[in-house]
Amino acid sequence: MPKPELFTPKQGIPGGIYVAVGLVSAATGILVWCVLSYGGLVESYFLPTPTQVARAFVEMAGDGSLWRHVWASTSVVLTGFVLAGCIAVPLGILMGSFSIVAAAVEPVTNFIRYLPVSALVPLLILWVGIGLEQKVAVIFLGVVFNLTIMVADVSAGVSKALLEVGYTLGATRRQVVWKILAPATLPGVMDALRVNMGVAWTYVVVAELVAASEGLGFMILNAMRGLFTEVIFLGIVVIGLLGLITDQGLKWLRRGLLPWAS
Amino acid sequence: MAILHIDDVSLIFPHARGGRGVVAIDRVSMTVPDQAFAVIVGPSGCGKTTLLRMAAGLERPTGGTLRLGDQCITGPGADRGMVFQSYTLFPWLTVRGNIEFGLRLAGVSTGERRDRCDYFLAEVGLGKFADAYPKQLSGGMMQRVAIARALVTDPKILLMDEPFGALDSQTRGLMQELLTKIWFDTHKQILFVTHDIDEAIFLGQRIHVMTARPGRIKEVVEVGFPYPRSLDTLTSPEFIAVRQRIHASIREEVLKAQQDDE
Ligand SMILES: Nc1ncnc2c1ncn2[C@@H]1O[C@H](COP(=O)(O)OP(=O)(O)OP(=O)(O)O)[C@@H](O)[C@H]1O
Ligand SMILES: [Mg+2]
Repeated sequence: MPKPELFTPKQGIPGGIYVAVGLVSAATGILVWCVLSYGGLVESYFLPTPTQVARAFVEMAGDGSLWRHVWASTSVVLTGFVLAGCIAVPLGILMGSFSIVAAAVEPVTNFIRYLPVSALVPLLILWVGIGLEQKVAVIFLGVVFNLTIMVADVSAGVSKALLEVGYTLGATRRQVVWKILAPATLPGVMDALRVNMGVAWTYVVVAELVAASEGLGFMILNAMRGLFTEVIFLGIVVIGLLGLITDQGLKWLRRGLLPWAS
Repeated sequence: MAILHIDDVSLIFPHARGGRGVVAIDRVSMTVPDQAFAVIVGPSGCGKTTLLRMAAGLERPTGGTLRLGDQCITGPGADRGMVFQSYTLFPWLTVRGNIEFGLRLAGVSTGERRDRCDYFLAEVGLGKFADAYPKQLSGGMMQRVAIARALVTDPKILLMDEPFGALDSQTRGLMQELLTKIWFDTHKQILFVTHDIDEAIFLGQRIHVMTARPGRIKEVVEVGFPYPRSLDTLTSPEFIAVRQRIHASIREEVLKAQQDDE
């Protein structure tokens, strides 16, 4: 068997090696953590040991508080994300293919796109209060502009020839939009949704910064006040895992819904 | 059935930033008789695609008129089928879905759709691939589907823009034979555009030789080989004589264009 080439650009490597490298890399991270914490090189209120984090998990999972936080955050993130998607996907598709829509929307989106969402939190509190709506609004604003622009790029990338074929087959403009442009954007839209789902999760702490009584962001912020570092770690790990799960779910959904896309 | 009249047609593309535009087509007149197989051949960039797109209604002439029968061509429509040089199958539809697309738009019943689709699947030799997605097909197969898709709605004329240009020479040869067979079977009026002189002579009854910038029709050559044509056609002395003549004619054009560029 020829020796596998591991350092050639754009050259795949055997699946076994791929998994092994991933495991080694993850194990190294955990090992460093173990050495630093168990070895007493860093104080435990800066860096808890894996045992402490596991104990926090068992405790909070046992009394149900962890699941309450998970559910609270997940529902906020999903609601904000779905609302943003309902606006951003159709708007983006139109923006990418109708210059007149782009002309109207672009100045606004490009202006707001680079604003940190945290800068809008005070305004949001003023406008929508401190309830659930405010948290959903943070996620919504964090996602909607970026998603619109990414979908617009996807839509602009649809080959014009595909639309022209439609016209020569007798399609009206409306039919071209619904039966050609819309399906043609689906794979790209799914990819954009996946990327922005990750973005949505990164806003969960900002969303729960103010006047929250549950949620993973709240859990982390609250733990900081009592120096319960192991709970902060637990929160971070859980958010990471939730992100990973939703990402895999969307990946799986794309493969199931769009078998024709490569 | 109807005659395609191209009457004193010009098209000047406006220059991007003011200035003088590009004269892509300059006062071209030609007719494609009923049931004829007409070919336009000319050097790269001479305006072949532009002329064909005007016939399809995808481009508006800046002067002159195009008519199919007694109908002025003002926009694209199902009475003129088009096969593009690039691959333009709808990736989200199966081969059958692609071929039936135009029939669905026209509201043809399920049973009739099936029958007509089956007929053309057999005609292009892809019966076994009815349920395959485009990503599973080779380039030659995709263009065969595109031809079937354009023919199935029974347009009055088939417009073809170098549909075999991206194929390897073996496949291209087979596709050319297939096309002469389809034409022999259906006597569907065809206007075929190519820069490949051999392809032009092999396929057409009447060959319109085009000049380079501005595009004009320089001469029309009649070719009398019987259909369906085969490899023997390519080696006959008449073929070689016609080829010499068109070669010399186009060579003159290319040289002239190069001198103009200097
Ligand atoms: N949309 C456009 N805007 C401006 N100029 C154009 C446009 N489309 C074509 N042209 C110009 O018109 C001329 C003819 O182009 P066309 O594509 O019709 O040539 P062609 O004969 O099909 O060439 P090829 O053999 O390379 O396909 C070229 O000089 C081209 O640069
Ligand atoms: Mg061309």
